[in-house]
Amino acid sequence: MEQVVLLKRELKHWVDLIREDFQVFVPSRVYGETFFLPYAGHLEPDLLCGNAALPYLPPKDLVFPQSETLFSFTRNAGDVDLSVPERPSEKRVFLGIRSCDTVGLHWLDHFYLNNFRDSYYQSRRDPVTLISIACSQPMKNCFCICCEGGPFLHPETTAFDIQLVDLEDHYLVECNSEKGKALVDLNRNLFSQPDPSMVEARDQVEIKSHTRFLQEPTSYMSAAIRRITSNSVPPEVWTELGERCFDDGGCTFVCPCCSCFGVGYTAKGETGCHYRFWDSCDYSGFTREVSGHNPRAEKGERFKRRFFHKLSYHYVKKDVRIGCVGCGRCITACPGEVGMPAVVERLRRG
Amino acid sequence: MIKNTPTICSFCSNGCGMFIRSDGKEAVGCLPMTLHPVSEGRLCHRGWNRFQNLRSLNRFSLPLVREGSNLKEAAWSEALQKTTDKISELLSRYGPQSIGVIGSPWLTNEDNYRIAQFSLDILGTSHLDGSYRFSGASALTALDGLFSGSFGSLATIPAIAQSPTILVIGKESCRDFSPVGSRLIKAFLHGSTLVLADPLCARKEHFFKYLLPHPLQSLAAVFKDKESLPPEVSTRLFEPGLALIFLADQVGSAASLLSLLHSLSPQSATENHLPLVLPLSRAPNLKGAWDMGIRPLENGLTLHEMLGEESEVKALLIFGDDLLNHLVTSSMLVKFRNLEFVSVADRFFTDTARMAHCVLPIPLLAETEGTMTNSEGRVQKLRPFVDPRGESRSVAHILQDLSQRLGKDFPMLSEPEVRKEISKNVFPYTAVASESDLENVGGILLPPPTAQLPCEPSEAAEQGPEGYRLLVPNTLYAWNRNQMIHESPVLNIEYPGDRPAVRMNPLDARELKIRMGEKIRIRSDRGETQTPVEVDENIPSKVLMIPSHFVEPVESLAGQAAQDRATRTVFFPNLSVSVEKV
Amino acid sequence: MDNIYLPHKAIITGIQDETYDTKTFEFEFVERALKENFRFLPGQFLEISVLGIGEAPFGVVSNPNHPERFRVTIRAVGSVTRALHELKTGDRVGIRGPFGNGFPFDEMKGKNILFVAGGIGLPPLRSLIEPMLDSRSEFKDIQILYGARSPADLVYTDRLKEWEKTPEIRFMMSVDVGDPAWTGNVGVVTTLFPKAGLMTQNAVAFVCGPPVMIRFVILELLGRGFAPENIISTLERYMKCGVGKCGHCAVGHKYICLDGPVFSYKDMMKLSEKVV
Repeated sequence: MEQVVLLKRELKHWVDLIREDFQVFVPSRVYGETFFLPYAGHLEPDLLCGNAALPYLPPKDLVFPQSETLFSFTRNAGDVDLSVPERPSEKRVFLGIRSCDTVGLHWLDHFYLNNFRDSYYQSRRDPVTLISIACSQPMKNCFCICCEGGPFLHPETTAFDIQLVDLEDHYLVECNSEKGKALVDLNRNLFSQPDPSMVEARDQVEIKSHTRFLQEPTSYMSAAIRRITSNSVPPEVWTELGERCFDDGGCTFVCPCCSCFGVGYTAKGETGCHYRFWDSCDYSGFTREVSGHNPRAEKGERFKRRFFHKLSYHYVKKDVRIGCVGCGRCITACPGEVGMPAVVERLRRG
Repeated sequence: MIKNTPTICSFCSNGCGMFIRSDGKEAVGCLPMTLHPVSEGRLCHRGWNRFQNLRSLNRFSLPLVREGSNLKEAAWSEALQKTTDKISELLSRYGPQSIGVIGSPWLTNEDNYRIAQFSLDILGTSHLDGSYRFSGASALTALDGLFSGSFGSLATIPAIAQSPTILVIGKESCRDFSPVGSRLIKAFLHGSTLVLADPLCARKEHFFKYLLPHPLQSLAAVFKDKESLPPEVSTRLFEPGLALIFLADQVGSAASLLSLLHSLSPQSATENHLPLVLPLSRAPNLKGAWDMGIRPLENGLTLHEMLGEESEVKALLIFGDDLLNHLVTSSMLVKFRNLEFVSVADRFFTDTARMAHCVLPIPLLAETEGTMTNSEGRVQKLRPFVDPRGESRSVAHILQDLSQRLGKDFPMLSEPEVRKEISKNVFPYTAVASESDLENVGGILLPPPTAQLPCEPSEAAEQGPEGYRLLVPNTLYAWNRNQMIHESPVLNIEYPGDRPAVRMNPLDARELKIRMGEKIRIRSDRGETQTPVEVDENIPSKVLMIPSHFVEPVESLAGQAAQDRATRTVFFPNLSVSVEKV
Repeated sequence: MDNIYLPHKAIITGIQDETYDTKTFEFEFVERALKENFRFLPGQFLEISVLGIGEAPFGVVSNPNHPERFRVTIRAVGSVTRALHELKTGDRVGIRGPFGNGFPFDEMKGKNILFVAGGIGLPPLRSLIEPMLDSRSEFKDIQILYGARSPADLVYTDRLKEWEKTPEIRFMMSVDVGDPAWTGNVGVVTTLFPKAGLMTQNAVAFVCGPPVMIRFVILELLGRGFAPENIISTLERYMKCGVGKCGHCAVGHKYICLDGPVFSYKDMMKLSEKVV
């Protein structure tokens, strides 16, 4: 891993340089809310530092959109033409995502790019270089430290392109991949070599950050993982948790590690399309068959199923890590106050 | 490039702030607003999936005109001319009172205001109403009587989280309206007492402390007889700070709601001792349409009367409502089908459109400007994410065209200009004149005028049930009958259609040796019917349920629908019945 | 890049009415290379789409040894299947696949094979029965027990007559409810067991049908000494993508479209959700 130093006041120069070849997405404020939007010449420094708030949606939205057309069709004279929408071919950089979101994207990579490769996901993901910013302090709902989702990314355990560490008036730029290195190579003059005191300062920031994160209420994920894997959670607990669930699907849509989708079909006259959209296993219709039979008719069953998928050891083996990065978005999106930490705590209490 | 348009959800009366995300002309997603006081970063499954019905291709692109048994696409000029020809004919043959005009809780305040103006100034008819006459008007009438002309002391949804005691009427009021449900959970976690009143609920969720198995119309009698309540319940319900949450669509008679409010407000109570009231609805602009005057004018008939035996109404001009699916009795359906002329201005191919003589395409609420008023009395601005699709025209444009062809002038005002009119003429919408206030997230909350204690209504207590109680909930606005739900692949599956059947508790079924799908004979003192059984463990013992829209068995047992004289409408009451296997 | 969601065009080359609500469709791919190179294993399924209406999974029922034209038996129950029933020979559909794990075949050689099929469960088993009959000498006893609700619900009636006559297999069938013309066995398929003379040693049983039937048949087989790993059945779930991405068919930590639809009873018991 290579480490170089970039003065904060040079960030805009670097971004303008990157913009010549890449479409750059940065956290931007619109109507008071934070979205990832294409950089339009203006950076918001308070969204690009160690203690910036998370945008409502994780960047999964940019590689696996809330809905996208799979193909459209046109009938003509007994035959039919199918056409796949043009894929975006531009190279892209996501600047300013957080550690938890980086881990989440890699989780989705593992799911979508293996074993029947999803070309729609791949065409959006391949041209992307990630520049994440390590978090120096937790926000209201953060618990990434309990899930190995942050606050800092380590090259031994997580793949990443570039990690920026916020050091007051400069960033330490840590390149961990060819893609990352290529961005620094655009103009080496913008960067300088770190001296030992800087590296030391960086490590101090990480230690301080860890301490702050550990002071937040922690979630004992391992206890929950054990109970769920051994199926030793009493069914009444799932029924009670299920009663608090409003099957709105919010948790699945905002989760960086949720990937389920449904397919819709439209047609009028001779044309139409098949499109896919985010779907949620919370919904009663998720498993309902045409006959009306529903293997997961009870809300508690669906609730249990979702956490089984997120936390059970069987899935961890397949997906390489648990399906939660501790970003805390499910807490914001849940009407019933049964986001991940609340559930883990309830499972721990038994 | 994804564009995020901040607007208000158009499914129910919670009025959640959301973003519609679009790519070019296509809606590709929805997001909740984190800063909105109602949604606060959350949506229900309808709101999250709203973009799917915006993608549906089942919209009308052109007007349709009936030729024999078919509807054929026609140019606007032809459709409008046919409509005005028929209107003129009716006006000259029978006079203006032969035409009824139907506004809608699925249209904006401004459009409803314009429709009211059109009826009065252009057509000269006083027969003006909405389908909510059967699903919400009784609640609105009661609350009008209570709070002198408006909703007055409505609860705001965030304030519910602070209420020490909350009385929820109907499980759906919590389940189906997640912004309300989430505040209930918050209140529960802070130690509030939650009471559920629902005769169709066998088992309460753990966050409710008490379950009262009584329908709304019986609660007043139950509360008067404090002996029948657990002591903690009777203490808490009569302390200040009570919040009352119910589904306005399901209130059968104004008197029943007034009785309930009266029973919860002791005679000696001061103004702030009255409960905070939140009337929910499965129509997004129930309150707005009502306030804008979609009600009969002087000498006018309600929708119930327009479709009555002796009605002089021969034609209906329907704006934005699937009216056929919102009528209560079979005689209304027959009368509707036999009208001389029906015109429908709507978005999707509904059952009502299918039997109209003329269909005019209008934009979706997602494609219009305008405001809607939610259950809290919050007036909020809609923002279109895209220009209206195809050849659809706004309601304002249609009204102006019709007026011109009738030789009259109907001013084409912009939405802000109409709002200025509304602020002058509709009490208490004075504040909507301020465009800048409307731009705020959360819109404008209508001010509460001084509440007054309600007059004492009389209500016969429900007879004690012998045998079984048959409950007939008003399901006219049920989600599985809502066209927008049908147009979304996910929501269509979430709300499957129901089969004509009576729902019964499994233990009762076993006792009578009845299996799922077998028929039973139900007898009331007015008639009998045979219906297949559907077993449902959520139904309490000795209770049966038939949704009100299965008109045939319900009418066989109820005889006639019951009258709500204050609201000039009808509803199906609950009945005492006996049951046997066929 | 291979597009796993884009269907390939296929033509309906034949339609056979089986019962009042079931038809068998024969397809071939439009694109020549696909048509000639298409292969599938017995027990695999295809995702067939009626463009603009929907897409659904269907097990292939024809003999994998003759893959250029392949058949699917479809009962009209929902919007997609009803739309398929409206189509005629020469119409086009979209097809993706084959997906799924398929039935074991080579490992069955040298064993006694029992097929128990209920109603619409016979079609997927047929894709295994036919190639076994092609290599008949490699298997020991082959027995088929088939039950349907009524004579009007029996599928492949012509082939059933052939199975009744041929010495290569032992075939018995039964209907839950007879009709005036029916002279055969009456009763659910498990009522055939006492008189079937089952081979239970060195034997494998393939069971397909409605979930209730599968449950009772498996109980019978266990009671007669079949080991759980030698009872093989199929699991059904609502499916969308067929390639293990959309999440709808997940049961426990397995995907029906990737790890199934064929499972041994032993594997079914290991799934963390109750399936049978």
